[in-house]
Amino acid sequence: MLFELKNVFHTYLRGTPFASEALHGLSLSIPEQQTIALVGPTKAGKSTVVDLLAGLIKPAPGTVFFEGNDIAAKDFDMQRIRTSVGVVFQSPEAQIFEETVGKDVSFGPRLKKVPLAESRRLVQESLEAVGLPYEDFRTRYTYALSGGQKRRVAIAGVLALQPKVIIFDEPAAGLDPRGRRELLALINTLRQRHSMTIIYVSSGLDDVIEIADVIHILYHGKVAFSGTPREILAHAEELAAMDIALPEATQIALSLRDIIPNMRTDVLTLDELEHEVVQMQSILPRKSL
Amino acid sequence: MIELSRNVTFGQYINNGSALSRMDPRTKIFCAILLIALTSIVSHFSAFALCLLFCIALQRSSRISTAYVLGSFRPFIGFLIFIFFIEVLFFQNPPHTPLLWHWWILSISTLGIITSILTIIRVLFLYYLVSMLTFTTSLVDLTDGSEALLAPLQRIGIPISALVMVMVIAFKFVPIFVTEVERLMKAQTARGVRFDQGNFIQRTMKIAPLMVPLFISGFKRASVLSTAMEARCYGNHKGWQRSKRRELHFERFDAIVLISTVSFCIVTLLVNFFVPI
Repeated sequence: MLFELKNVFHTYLRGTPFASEALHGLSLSIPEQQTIALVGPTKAGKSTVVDLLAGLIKPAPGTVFFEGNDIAAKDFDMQRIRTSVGVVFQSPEAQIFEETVGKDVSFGPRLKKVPLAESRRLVQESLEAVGLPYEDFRTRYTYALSGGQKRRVAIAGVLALQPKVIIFDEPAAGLDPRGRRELLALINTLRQRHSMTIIYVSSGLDDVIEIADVIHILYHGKVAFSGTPREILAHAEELAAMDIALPEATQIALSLRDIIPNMRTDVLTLDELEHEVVQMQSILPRKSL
Repeated sequence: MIELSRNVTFGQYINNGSALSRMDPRTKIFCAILLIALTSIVSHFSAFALCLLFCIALQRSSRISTAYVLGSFRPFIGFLIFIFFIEVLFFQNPPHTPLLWHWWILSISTLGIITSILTIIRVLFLYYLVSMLTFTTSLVDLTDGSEALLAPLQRIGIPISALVMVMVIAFKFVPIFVTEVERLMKAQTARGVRFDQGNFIQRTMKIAPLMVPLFISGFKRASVLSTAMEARCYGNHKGWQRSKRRELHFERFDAIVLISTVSFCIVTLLVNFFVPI
């Protein structure tokens, strides 16, 4: 098990009149080489979990195990988490600070004192992994890039650190449909070709239904329920009550329950939905439709 | 290390509905100025003791946890101790004062120690009073109050409402900037920067890359804000005047506070000047 969180609490601004509890007894385990999705409405504690997994904050109280080691132990080096976990934060394009693409992507390797030739190879590989040709983009100015390109550069900057795990915090926010499709394809490649563990954080189920192996639904600082995309979608009514955006097919299926009370909601695609509706139609008497 | 805003407590309004937070901001600001003036005039320990009693009463009526308020002093303690030693060592002793210790231009005398202690006490009172004012007054109240108090200056051609607006915006940008710095620090930590390591100069060097994106986002915000203000017709047109949604009211409680503060100031001054050491 890569990560194991047991009964974790976290309170921001503890000990001040502004204290607010973000995590309330959360337990979660994340196995290696899978795509895990953390989905929840705002204030569910998603960003706090991201910070915990990235080794930026420590749980109090609660235990977090990283590769079987307790991170609260005295001899545990937080740097171990930080080198193996890469994080793509929300709107990562705002965090680009070097003037050229090449310099920005090589920031991490340079800091780790990677030899120049090796660093160049890393930059080339990372840029090409996110679909930006190295020769073309290396010397481009970062401020002249488009929004989608900036996001890719930021992701390449994380890839250049060669993490084992990569956390995406709402990566599709603000992207157009094409940018979103390309991003999901990129995440799939990372996992299949580079055998990385992917943790995808999102406020809606729309993005993660196609790519996630396991989805954890967070609500009020706890895991409400977990399961494969199909298992999660069976809870469509509860999800809607939690203000979690459902995929199109599920939304339609849920609305159809008004006329077909035992309509299944765990349909992943529109084709599946159609198939299901046709089947239901043959069972039900004609009059009721 | 990452949770920056936890340490920035100075000036955060705590809305707990206490009598202090409900009173008229004009009276509150005026009383705070009186008290600050008082603590910088008096120099007698008995007068400071009276001030301390007054602050305890203030603290009780604010209903804010004492531990929290005292905790906000923590970042200053080291600085104050440093100032204290400098003051004592470089104190300009009048001729023929008995010196306790002397080396080159440095000297320690009883008079120097007493004067430095008084300075530190004044700074502590100043800090306490200012933070108490901001703890119990919302930003809107603070600006409404200071605008009303400064209004006479408008007559002689000083654009008070514009200046107050600049002040408000500056205040409002502080938490935004803190959150932004936090976000950038997180992003850089994720890319391998270690802010918690290295000596003073190395740490300062690590802050430098934060400045570029911070300034870019700051300027962007400022330009968005100015567009938004212009869209709502903010400006200095002829005959242009802002009206207020909320009028300030001077009530009986304010009168009581004002009278008691003024009489407290007079009593403390009398004690200060007429009680023998």
